[in-house]
Amino acid sequence: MSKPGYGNLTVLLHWVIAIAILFLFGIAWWMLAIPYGDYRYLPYQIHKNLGMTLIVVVGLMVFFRYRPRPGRLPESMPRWMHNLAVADHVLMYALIFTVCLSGLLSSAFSGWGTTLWWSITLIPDPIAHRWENETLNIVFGQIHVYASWVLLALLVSHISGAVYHAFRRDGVLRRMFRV
Amino acid sequence: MSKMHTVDEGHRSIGPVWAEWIGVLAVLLGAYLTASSSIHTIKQYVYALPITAAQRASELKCPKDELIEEGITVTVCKQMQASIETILVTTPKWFLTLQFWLGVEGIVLAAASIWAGMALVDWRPWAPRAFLTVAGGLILLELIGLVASAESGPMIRKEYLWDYLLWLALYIALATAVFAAWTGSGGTSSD
Repeated sequence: MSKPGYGNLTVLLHWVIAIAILFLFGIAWWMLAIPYGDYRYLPYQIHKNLGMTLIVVVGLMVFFRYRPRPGRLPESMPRWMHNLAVADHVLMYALIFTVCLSGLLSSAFSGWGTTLWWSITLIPDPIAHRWENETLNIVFGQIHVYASWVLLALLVSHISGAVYHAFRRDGVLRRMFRV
Repeated sequence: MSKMHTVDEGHRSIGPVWAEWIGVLAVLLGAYLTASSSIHTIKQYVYALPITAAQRASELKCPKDELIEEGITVTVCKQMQASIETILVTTPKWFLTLQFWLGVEGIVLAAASIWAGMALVDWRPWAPRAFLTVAGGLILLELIGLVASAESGPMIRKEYLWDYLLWLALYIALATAVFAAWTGSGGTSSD
């Protein structure tokens, strides 16, 4: 008999992403309450680097999500609920990519170079200076902020859905809550 | 209390109701606490940066063009400067070091609580014992943090004490619930 839930790798990536997203919100709210200078540098760089890393990690999770394919959802689940869950998941993936990419683009037009985890240069400083564009920096910054608020709302609905299934004991939750 | 194992789901039986419900809460709180502990750890590292009081003025800047981008006024930025100054001036060095290590251990234990919580939901016989062990560790960390915060002056108490109290209460409640349900159902001897 096939396993009812997602594969081990998908489960691991899901929780890593969940913690990372919560962390990114928290560190953003803290770092924006610190004035410019050395105190803001580290949290800002961690936020940016983790955001860039998340693009790859979420991509991996989407790729591995159906390898192996999880079992069917319970027959008792109404069609509208299934459709709502699919829409929620697709929107979340889209918003995670939007938030991460808009953040990267905002930074790309800020005039500052971009290095991944202080090791791999993605945008060298000279190119960053040439690309500097305050308008695009602000536009992508606004997209980043507003998309992240929508993502937070979807996260709340996602978590509420999980709690709903937990208390209904319909087996849906155990697809992702597995060791 | 009903029997430990309820309905067969094919290759593995489902555990008791209490395990699934507490497990879900444990996982959600564990994910939040892992993120929170990570931020807490980085905060202590940043506050402990070797920047002298004289250098601080140049490291807490309010450049007007950057403030426009973030939509805040110079007045607000000055308050942000004062807020950071307050933390830096009123926090003893030993407190920062202690908080850093409490944060690191908090990350490990909170992540472990996610795993133990999932084991409760997915029902493994060892899950209650594993969760109680991890929760015990978290309770101890919160207690140490609580006492340290209480003994470090009014500004530190304002900043930290309430959060420590909240997490302490939550994990005492979860651990008590698991202990009561597990021992009440005769789980300690058979599983």
